[in-house]
Amino acid sequence: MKTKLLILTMLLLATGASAQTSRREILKDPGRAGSNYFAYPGPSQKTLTPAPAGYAPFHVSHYGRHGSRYMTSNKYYLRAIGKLDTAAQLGILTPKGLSVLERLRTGYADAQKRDGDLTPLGGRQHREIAHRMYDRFPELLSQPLQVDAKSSTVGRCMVSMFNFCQELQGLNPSLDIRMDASKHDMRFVVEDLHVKPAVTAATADYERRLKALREKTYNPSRLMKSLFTDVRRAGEFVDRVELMRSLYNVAEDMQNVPELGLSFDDVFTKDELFGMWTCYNAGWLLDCGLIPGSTPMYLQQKEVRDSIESRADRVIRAGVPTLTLRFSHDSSVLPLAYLMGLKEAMGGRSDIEHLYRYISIDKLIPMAANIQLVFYRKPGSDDILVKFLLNENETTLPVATDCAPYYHWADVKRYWEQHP
Amino acid sequence: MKRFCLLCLLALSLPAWAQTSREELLTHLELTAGNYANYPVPTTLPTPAPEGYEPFYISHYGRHGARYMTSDRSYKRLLSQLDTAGSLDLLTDYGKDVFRRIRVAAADAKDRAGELTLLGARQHRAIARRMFDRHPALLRQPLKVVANSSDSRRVMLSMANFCLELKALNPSLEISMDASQHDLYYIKSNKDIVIPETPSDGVLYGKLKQFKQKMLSGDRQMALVFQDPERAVGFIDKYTFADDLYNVAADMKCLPELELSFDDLFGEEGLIDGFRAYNASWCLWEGLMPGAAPGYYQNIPLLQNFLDEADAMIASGGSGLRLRFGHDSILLPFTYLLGIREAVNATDDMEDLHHHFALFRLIPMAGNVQLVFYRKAGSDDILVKFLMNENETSVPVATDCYPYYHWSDVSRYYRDLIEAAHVTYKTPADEN
Repeated sequence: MKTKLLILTMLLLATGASAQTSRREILKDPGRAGSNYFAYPGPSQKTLTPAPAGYAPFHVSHYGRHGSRYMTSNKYYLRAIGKLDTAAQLGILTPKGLSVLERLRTGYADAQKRDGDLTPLGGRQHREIAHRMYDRFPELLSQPLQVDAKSSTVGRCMVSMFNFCQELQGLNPSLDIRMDASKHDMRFVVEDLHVKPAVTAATADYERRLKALREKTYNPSRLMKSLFTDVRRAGEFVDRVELMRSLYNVAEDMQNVPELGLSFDDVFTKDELFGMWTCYNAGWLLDCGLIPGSTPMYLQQKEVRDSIESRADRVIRAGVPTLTLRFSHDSSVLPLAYLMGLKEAMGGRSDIEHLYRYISIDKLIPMAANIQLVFYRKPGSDDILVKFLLNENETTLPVATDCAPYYHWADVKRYWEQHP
Repeated sequence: MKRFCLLCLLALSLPAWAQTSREELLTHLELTAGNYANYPVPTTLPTPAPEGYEPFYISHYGRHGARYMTSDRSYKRLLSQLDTAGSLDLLTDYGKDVFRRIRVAAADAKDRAGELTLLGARQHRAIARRMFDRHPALLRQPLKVVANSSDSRRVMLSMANFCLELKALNPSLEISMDASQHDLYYIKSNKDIVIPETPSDGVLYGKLKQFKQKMLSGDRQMALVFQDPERAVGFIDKYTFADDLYNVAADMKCLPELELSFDDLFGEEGLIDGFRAYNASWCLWEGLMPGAAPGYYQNIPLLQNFLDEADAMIASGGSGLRLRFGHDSILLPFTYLLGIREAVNATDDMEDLHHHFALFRLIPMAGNVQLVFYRKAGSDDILVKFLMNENETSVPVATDCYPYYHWSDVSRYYRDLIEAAHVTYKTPADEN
């Protein structure tokens, strides 16, 4: 029995390595190179593993990022338009440069006064996730459940929550849904800013290496030649790297406003996109502390994990089926995935340049990213099972289990006590 | 000059109804909470539409529901004043109990300034449900519902509660909700619009200050709370003390779960006086008092939005529901622009004002205006009905089928009004 368990454990720990990401995988779908702009791809897993015999779901705890949004600031539009407009006045834009300028103006007109707003696609993403949740757990969600929904105080998160809840309410009018977005409990919903982890010694070194990687990767020469007929003259008033960064942000956010029918895919080569993406990927992982020895900023989400755990324990004790929904940001989902031990967020290495091979944020924090914990119980037993879904695909934790992808809740709690 | 044209138009019809008596206030003391008042459930039954007319479009503007006070300023001030008084042994036993109650209320309100309360959510769900019940033929269809709210969280959550209730009643509704800066130019008062000055505005503000000091003198509260009111006056401003307590007392109407009341600090007369103070304030602030600067100019974009969207809906031949969620400071001037009888009867006699103009008929928590549009097969005559907090009301336009109005008459009246206003927008020079 013990040997069996050990082998199983080893197998499971080994599957952690399957979260690897290749350059080809990123380039296959240009949206993936959009860093946290990647529009929600939907689950690749169509059928979930049935629960062990006799177990039925009674609590779902959903933690999600807002859906597709406009850029949080229109500064990228303004910078790029400003530079290209000046170049147009000077008559040094190539036909392609002119076309890019025209597209930038169209995109900006649509985005005006919408900085950071949820887009219609963002609303649809949340309604679809809610709909699939209902379809996947109909026995639970067709009951007259209490639904406790809380969101960050940011508008796009709240509107995401509204869309999610609206879909559920339409599917089951008997749901008793309470929504809130209050300053008084943000440390349990988004982040605890009172936690200020000390900056580690390794962090400065990582930052230096990331900066060096950026310098190596951001090569604006080809881009400049494609936009300007007189690159030397343009260089007098254009910060080349800044222009590249601005256009990257605009180009990648386009997937979140598909109704516009605009594309900037011709602005960058796949190599350029991939290069910039690796920097963003590493930047995110460093900021959250997911690289060995980096500042453990993820500790700011420990209260969030604790509240999900204690909430689940309360539901288990009370025995009343419940749905808990939380709506937040990429900057919370990513560290939370790590704190929970989801395989996609584990295994960070110190090799900044190739870090993407081990942790890749396209799997973790696309728009509308989410972690779902589904709790199961069996009549006559006090054994509680839990399953983890990352972006609606079953995933694993470094916890031994005899019924993967289901885990004994007591084992998960024990693991969380020590990690970290 | 332009302003006077607008006022003339609004003055066309000033009906003598919507009056408030002392008896009514004494019977419904809860209404003295004014813009904090719990939403009064509509008291009248709808008048059937003329033969053959069916509703096809509802256009709505609603205030957020019951909320916490928008700032914790009053709590902070009261806690510190009562604490000091306590340390000086100045509190009566009654005062000690008030202190205790303030502490409970303040603890509940911590980090919740301005947020929607549970009652606020229920109010919106109930309004949505009644809208559905009153227009089942329309709202049972797979309609498009377009909802916009201000970017304030209590307003957004009000919208969401309203929409979720509708969705539960009719899952086939296609509801879009948004709360964007992009739409604030009509959802909120448009601060880019110039408010014409009036010679008497400053005088009225002077009068208001005196009136408020009289209505909220603080004498009663000081005598109840402090053993030695003379000494307490050394560090407590009586008016501010009464004003803070009045606001706390009024906000308790938004938090029935707390089961706390501060009404005893005021008594019947005190509550009515507090109501009169804020009634006059709001009336002046929003420009509804004769002689006041017409602040409602900044809500003309909202009126324009109602008109343009209604015309577009009529022209399309379709059906729909249009929801907008905002604040009292928009709803109040908007009802005045519409010429709704409850809003247009103000006087500059502040002592008498509350007999003719009462906030609780206009902007209680979750207060709202609904325009319900009707059409008849084979006719292009469109009728519209105005609901103020779900009660039928009148506007200053002639009609042969009250409470229904011919949209062509009503929209001409409003478009003339907008034209007469000659709205101008601030230039950078005005800002300086």
